[in-house]
Amino acid sequence: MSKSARFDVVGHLPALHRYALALTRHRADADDLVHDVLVLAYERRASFRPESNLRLWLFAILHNRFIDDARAHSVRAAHATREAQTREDVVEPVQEQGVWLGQVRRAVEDLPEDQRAALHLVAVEGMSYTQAAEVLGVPAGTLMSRLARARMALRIMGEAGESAGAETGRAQRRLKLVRGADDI
Amino acid sequence: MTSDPIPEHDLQAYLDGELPRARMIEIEAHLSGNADAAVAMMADMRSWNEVRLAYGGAGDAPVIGNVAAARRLERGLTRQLWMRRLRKGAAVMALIGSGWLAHAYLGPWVVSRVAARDLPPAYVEDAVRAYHATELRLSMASQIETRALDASEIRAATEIIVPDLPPSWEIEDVQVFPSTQGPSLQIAIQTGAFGLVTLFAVRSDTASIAAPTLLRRDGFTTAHWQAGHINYAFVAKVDTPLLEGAIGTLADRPATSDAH
Repeated sequence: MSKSARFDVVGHLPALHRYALALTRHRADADDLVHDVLVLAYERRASFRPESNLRLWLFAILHNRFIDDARAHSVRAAHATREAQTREDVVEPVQEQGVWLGQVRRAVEDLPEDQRAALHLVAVEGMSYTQAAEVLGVPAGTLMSRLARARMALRIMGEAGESAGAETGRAQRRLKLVRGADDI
Repeated sequence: MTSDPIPEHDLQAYLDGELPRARMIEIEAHLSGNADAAVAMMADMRSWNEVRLAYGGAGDAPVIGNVAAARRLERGLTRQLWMRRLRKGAAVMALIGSGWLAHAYLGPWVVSRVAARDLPPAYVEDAVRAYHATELRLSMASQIETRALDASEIRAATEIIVPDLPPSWEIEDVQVFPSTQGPSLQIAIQTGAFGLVTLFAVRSDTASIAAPTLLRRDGFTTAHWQAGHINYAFVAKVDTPLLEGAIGTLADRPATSDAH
């Protein structure tokens, strides 16, 4: 027990899986990616310095692994063919919480990968700019501009949804939100 | 209040909680006087929270294979930590083994005296400093001495092998503390004939066998020797020929003993 208290990798699994899901947008791919990361981290365990941050180390390995995978298979094509399946897979658990969360996910999924990663690390995982920049291997300024672009994109999507009318998109989601808990 | 335009990156940093409090207040002053900017900020905050809600849940339970892989990594990192602490431990045991064999073949040590101008290794200086610290500890009521010597535990934790001590020697204190060479061990012993002596042991980067060398300096008699990957230093305040015999015996008694 004391072993897992010192290096609590199991405790980081949910967050690793969340990030893998945000990157791959596909649950099975996310499981595979996390598994690859754990194997890779095991192989590289000598490079982990005990005084450094285990979570950041694992996240950085995950991010690099995803990038390498993407390069290796030129994933763009693979993902395009899988897109339909992707949406169903990912949106499914969300439906019970309300349609609007699915719409948020859709909006995030439409972001370019670099913006999605930055948004996830900072907004969802609550990392500081310094930490997120370390995971992504970019300067903090680059991270900030990715966040700003993601913010603008979500803002534009929100406004577009609103102007499209009350029946669809974000406007509907907002009305439901205002009505409150009976919807969830 | 609302005069200066706020740069975009500051609004971003405000949204992400990255600003110092004073700057936050300036941004809030700006927003409270600028309806359009405030509406946009609230919309952004809402977006961020929606993303958190959509992605931030605990999610599905990790698949079993990943939990197993995570546990393996935990064990691997823990082992790595110990390896680090023990420094380059991998080849060590084999070398110690062969070291002791060579030692046994060569027979008992002959203790050599050298002139005081020869500089002892740095760890001998450490040992003398540790002797002073031990004297101080023993004189202080608030410092708790550890009289139990668990040689096998010490060996497991530090890879330092404690030589068998003569049965008439009484252990006053056992301390493990960090040094540049990794964990070191200091045992304080009341010997009767030689008064308080200390035995200091620390791991070495290189394996070797070196017979005890006796030095007399600054009122201390020190002896240092190496067995395998461990450097030993013996410190006493007396200087008598009997000491050489005792040290020779000590250096000649590699740890048999978990039975100690």
